[in-house]
Order: sequence, then C-alpha cells, then structure tokens
Amino acid sequence: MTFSTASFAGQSATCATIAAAGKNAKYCVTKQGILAYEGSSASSFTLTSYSSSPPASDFALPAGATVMSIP
Amino acid sequence: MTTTSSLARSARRRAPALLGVALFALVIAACGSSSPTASTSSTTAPGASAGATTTSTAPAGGTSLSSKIGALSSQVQAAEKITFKAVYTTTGSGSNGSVTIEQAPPKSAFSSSGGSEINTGTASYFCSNANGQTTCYSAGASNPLSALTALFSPATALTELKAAQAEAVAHAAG
Repeated sequence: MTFSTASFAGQSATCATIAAAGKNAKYCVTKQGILAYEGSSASSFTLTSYSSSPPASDFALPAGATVMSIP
Repeated sequence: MTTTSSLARSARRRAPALLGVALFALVIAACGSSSPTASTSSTTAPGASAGATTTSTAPAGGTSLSSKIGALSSQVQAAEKITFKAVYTTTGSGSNGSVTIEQAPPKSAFSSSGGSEINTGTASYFCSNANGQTTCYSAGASNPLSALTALFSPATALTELKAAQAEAVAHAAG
C-alpha cells in the first residue's frame, strides 16, 4: 500500500493505493474528509467540483413536484 | 481484498431492491461525460519539485500504515458533520456519468441526471422526472437509499483500506 497526495477540484487530498494479488484500487480523501477519488481499472468516481455552501433549495422538493407515499 | 467493483456490488446488495436498483441504474447510465479535473499534486514535500506527487510506501502491517489510516479515519469522521456539495464523474461499465452529493446536516441530497434522493432532515424522498413532470416518492423518516449514498462515502473507502491493512497484517504474520 502506498500513500500520495493529489488535488481534485482544487481540494488537496490524501490518496492510498492498494496493489495486491493482481488487483489495484486507489482511494483519495480530501482534508475535509470528502471522498475525492475511488477507482480501479474497471471503474472510477472522481470529484470534479466542490463547494462548502450548497444552496438551501437543493434540500427541498422541486417546485411543482407531485408527492406520493410508498406503501 | 475488494475492489471498486465489489464495493459497488456490496452497496447494491444493501440497497432496497426496487429503489436501489433504479437509482443505481440512473447513476451508471447517466448521460454525458466530462474529463476528470484531477491533477497531481498540490502538495510539495521537502526536496520535491513543485507540483510533484509525494508518495510513500507503508510497510505491510506496520505502525506507519496504521497511523496513516487512523488519520484518514479521523478526517472522514469529521466530514460527517460538515456542509458541502460534491460533484463526481463516474466511469465504468462502458458509460460515463455525473452524480452530485450534498449535505447540510441533518439534510442531504444525492442526484444524477435522471433522478434524486432528498432528505429534508425530517423525511426522505426519491424524485424522478418524466415528460416534464417531477414525481417524488416519500419514504418517511427512513432513508432507503442510504446504501447508494454510501457508495460515495469515504467511510466506505476507509472500510476497504482497513480490510487491506488487516490482510497485510495477516500476511506479515504468516
């Protein structure tokens, strides 16, 4: 296992790379503790934008939405 | 040791079947791709040139490895309480997409191009848009899609790291 640093969306991150038994995976976490990168040869998630102040409207139901209850 | 693919499989198993599979399909099948903006490195170690990635190799099962994973664990735990909005690009299974994760405790949101999961702090909803009409399904106070949100959680990644550490310790012990 190796550790490194990188920058994602302007955020400094610590990365851990695991390479064993023919498998490789890399995980990066920002200093704030946010997942910045997670990937292998098959798939990846990469942080491309970060904000510490999301708009309050993002946590409300969309205007005009029809609300239904799950039984 | 597990990989990202097994992480995804694990998360899908934990998710409630109907909504879980539906949203995961949205994530994977989300349209549009963009190039990752990752770059190495913003940190310059003593003696290293500016912009270089600093890399260190931790001994298998050693205390250095434990301390570094412990430091990451502390960072991840602190993040449970912070407010943020993070946008990710995803690749895999032959398709690329984008997902957004936000939280302002106790509120949280997870969205892709085809739908979103919103926790208002008092109730959770899964919302989808079809033919210009948005429909939100209430899940009450529970969060049925928490396992999918966990797919992007550093805590999940940390679990993988700790598993790798345990494997290294076991290997070192013979």
